[in-house]
Amino acid sequence: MAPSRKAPLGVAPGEEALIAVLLADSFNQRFRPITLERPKVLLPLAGVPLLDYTLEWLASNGVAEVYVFCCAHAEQVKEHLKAAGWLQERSSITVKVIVSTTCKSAGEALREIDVKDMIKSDFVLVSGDVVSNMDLGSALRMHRARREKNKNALMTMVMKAGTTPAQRRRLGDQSLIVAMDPQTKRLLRYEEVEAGRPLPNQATVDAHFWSETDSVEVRADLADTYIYICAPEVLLLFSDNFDYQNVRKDFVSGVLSEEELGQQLYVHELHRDYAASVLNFRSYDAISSDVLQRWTFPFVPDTNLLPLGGAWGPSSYRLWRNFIYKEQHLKLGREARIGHSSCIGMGTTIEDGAQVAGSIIGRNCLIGKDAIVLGSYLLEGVRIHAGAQVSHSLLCDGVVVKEDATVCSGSVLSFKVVVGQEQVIEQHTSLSLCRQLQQSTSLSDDELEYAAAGTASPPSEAALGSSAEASRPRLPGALEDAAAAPSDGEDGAHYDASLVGPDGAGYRWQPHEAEPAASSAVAAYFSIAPPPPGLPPPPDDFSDDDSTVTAAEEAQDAVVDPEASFKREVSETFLRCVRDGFEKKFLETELNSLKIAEHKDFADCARYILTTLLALCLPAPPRAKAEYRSLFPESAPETATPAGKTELLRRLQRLLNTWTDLLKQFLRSEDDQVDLLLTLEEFCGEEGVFEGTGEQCGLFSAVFAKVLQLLYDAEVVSEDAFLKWADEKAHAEAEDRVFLDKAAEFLKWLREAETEEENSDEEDEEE
Amino acid sequence: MPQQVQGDIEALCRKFRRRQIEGSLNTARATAELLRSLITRKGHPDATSLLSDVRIWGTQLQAAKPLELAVGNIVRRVLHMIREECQNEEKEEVATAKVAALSEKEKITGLLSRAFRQPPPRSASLHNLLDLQHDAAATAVPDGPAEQAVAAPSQHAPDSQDVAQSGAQRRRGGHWEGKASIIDQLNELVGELRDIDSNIALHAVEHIHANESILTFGMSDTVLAFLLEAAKKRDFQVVVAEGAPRYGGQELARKLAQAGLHTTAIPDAAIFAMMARVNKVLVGAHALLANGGVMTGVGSHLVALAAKRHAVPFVVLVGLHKLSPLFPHDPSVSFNDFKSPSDVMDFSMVAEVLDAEESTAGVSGEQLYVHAPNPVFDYVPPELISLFVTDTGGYTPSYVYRLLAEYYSREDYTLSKELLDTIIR
Repeated sequence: MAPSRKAPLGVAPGEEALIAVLLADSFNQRFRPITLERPKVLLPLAGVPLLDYTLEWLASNGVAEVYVFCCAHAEQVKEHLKAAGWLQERSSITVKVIVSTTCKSAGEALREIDVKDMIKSDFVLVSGDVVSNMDLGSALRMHRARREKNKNALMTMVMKAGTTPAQRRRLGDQSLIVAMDPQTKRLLRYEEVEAGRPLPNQATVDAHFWSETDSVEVRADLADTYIYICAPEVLLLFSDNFDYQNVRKDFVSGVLSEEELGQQLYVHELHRDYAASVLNFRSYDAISSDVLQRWTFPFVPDTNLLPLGGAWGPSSYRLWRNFIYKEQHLKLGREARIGHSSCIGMGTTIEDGAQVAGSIIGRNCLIGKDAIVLGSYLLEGVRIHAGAQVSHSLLCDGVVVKEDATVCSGSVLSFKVVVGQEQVIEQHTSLSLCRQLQQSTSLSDDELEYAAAGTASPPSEAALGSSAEASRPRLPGALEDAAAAPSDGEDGAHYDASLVGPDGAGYRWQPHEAEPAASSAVAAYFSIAPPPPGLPPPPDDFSDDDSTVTAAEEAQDAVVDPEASFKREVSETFLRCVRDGFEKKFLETELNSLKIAEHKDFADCARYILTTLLALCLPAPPRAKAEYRSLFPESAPETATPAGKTELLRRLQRLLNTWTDLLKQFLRSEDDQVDLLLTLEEFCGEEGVFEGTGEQCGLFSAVFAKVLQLLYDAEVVSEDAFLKWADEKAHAEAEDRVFLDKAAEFLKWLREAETEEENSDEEDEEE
Repeated sequence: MPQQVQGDIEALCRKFRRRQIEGSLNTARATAELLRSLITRKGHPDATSLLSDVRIWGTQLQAAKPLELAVGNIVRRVLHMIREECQNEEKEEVATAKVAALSEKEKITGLLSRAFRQPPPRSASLHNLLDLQHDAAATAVPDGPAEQAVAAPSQHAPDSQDVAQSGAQRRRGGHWEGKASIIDQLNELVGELRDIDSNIALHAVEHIHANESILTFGMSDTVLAFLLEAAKKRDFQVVVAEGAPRYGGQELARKLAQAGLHTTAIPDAAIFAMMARVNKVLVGAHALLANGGVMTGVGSHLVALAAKRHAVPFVVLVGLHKLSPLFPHDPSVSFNDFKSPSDVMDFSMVAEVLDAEESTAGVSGEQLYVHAPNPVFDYVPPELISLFVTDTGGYTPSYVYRLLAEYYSREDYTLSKELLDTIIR
């Protein structure tokens, strides 16, 4: 063959053969209920399964060998790979499938790969949902050059530069704050902000970085592409740290926090190249439109590059004006209106008067007379009957929308759902033929968590046979069963008739509660429909009016101030143990591990245990999580009155009685105790981390001296510590001595008691 | 063996699709080399089977990259070679037959009908318009029924099918004899493709004169070779327009300057102003179409119009592997390639619309986007082109149809007509 003189993509020949590890599982549930029946990586994007985008991109970059790691629906993935010709020998890329059905995270998958001991050289780690046209060659060359010089350059993370907040919102992606060395591109700090949250107002960078480098670049415009070029040692690290689950959350932050080990991570910035990963329905929509707008060139429909045969058959798209892509053999009515950015697959019929815009229509679909399909994704064989309207929704294979029905934006209709005549499916509704089990506890990916259609419904005569048959749990990915379901449904199983109509089929699927995007207000930001303006409200764990503000603040200090986040961690750990009635021993262990994880000392823990105790005497602060709210008393005592003061102190006394031992465990020295007092002072003064938390800590300032007394009585703080604190404070400014003054009487009493004691000691000695 | 052949074709198709082979010259070379190796390896009992095989292979290759007309051109060249080879054989046959035993019938019919029997190969014109239609009808039927078409009594001159048939009768030992000559010719073709730029450059001194000012646009290897060749003998000045959004002109300007030419780089916007001062415009092309128009880098049409306005000769350098018998209005000409908009605008623009929607809240629903088409090619019509300089010399656009007749058989023009049928089955 002629040598390609300027191959646009690829690794120069003569270099070491490149290996890639592709994780064909998302390890999350964002694509439920679709992923119950088909793995996410086989979800078609503009007619082509996501997996093929990733594989084809790897292949065109000259990757020699790909290990495809399958967990859920492994059989389907394997079948697809076979059908699409990836497993053929003459294919230029060797695809090997690794199946492990037990893995629940990327970390476990990588450990499994490490155990198999197959990878000896640098490799590319991607997930199966990456759509990219980047040139791996340049990133790889830089990675290898760094590795030549420094064996500790473990990983190069590919990031897309110039990602604006609006862009993140469009992609439903997390915000990211990255600090790096602008010269070497070494990653110094990596902070994720949950998707949709505002960027924090502050970011801290350790000053010691400047001892190593002249300048540090802090960037908020980088977006992680989920493409990593890794050294083989990365696998070892995953094996060594068996608790690493997630590549970014655990591995990256782990390596960065253990800087003294010398391991380094680097960043490769993408400017013009495209790279994005389908994380949720929002990014599915955004990336689909990017594909149609050709940002992913050459991975666009009309290059017909992607499926080289197989179940989907070779494609024959051509580009027409206004980014309309059409395959051969379409039946388009004369009066059918095809709008901007649409893609229509083979065998589809669009009848007169129908309107299609901004949509991707799969093969063998039918869009009836005067039906309207806007911004939606119809996979294979979807039938939209006359007069129906579908906007900004995802309709899987075999979905039927009957006459004059409406599917509102943000809906997801899983395989073979039928929407009855004139029914209206409301916004952000998920429907599936699989019925959701009410009590599901497991969070594992794509595991069996649903009953077969008809199980939980009262069996009618006609359904008796089928529901008995169907009451055995269905195997994940058993499409045959799903195929059988609609026939059950026609006369048997009781679907949510109020939802899909008497002639419909389907159950409502509630997003899992543990998912961050649970509430419908938040769901709007991660759905197929275009995101509403502004930032999403935070997950509403509580219903206060000011929740939006405070929770946003919480998110901020979670990132900005490690101290505040540590405080929160301690108090949450404590509250959890209180709520669940753990033994003190366990609580101590938990706190200890937290202390080690966060590089804190005993005093730090003790301080926040105390403040949590104090807080427990008051009504729950607005920021407390709903699950712990019950631990707090209903109302605050009226501290202006003596009775109120006594009440407050009695509450504290009760708590101290229980927890003194624990506190003592964490107060190892006199200095620790002094620290504790200083914190108490801050707490009562609502300073530092306690500032603006909305906790009514100020109430304690009225009884400050009494609190000291209680601590003294409980032998939490020794008298020496008190005196030391008083001495430290004695020379402070007037405003800093407010609490010292309040405690003056107590201190005086303490001193007297001491002298008396000394006196008596002396007397004893004298005797 | 057939599997291996198919495997090789698929491998090249995959390379085409993945754009691992870019540019018409590389594509043409890859195609020619693959065809050479396939023809060498696979056995063919006669010319007809070889023709049909090459046609099918060629269609597959062309379908993998419809944009690159050079693939089809090379395939048509090879088909033409095979047909010519057959014709030669037939001529020999007739000659020997004449010597051996002149048929009675031949004697009676006389000169006129003999002239009909062996018309010289001609291109499409009014004189043989009827032949043309007949051929089109014959070739519209895929290769399978070709035999039937031959079997039908032919009132006209023996077309190539007859020729192929007669060649088929001359097979020996199960292999068609003419193949060796085809492979020789293919070797020649590959060699020709290798030297094509330098062959074009040979004509440089005839077209560039001393102290001239030459304007060029974008990056073209052919233009670079041409200018460098001319610079050996002449002293002249080059003005290079940068050719946004890919800015190939900047690369060309750098290379020319490194070679010691007087080079001026200008932005595209300055082309019109500059045109008054130049003596000639030289550009490369992606494909030369049957009507004498060219597909060339986007923006060239502007340059051609500016040249016309200032009466500056617009010269296109084009290797004959780019000569295509297709017309620009042909539905099978996939005319343009739309690349990623990232060359034109920033990716963040896509999302800015979301902010805009906020300000016009309530209007949302229909998604608004900034659309940034980024085409690669332009079509320059023949009336704007003064001259083509090819590896075999200079031609005017009106002469292109003669070149077509020289390199391709009329029957093969419609190669791509079956393209979709073959691909979709």
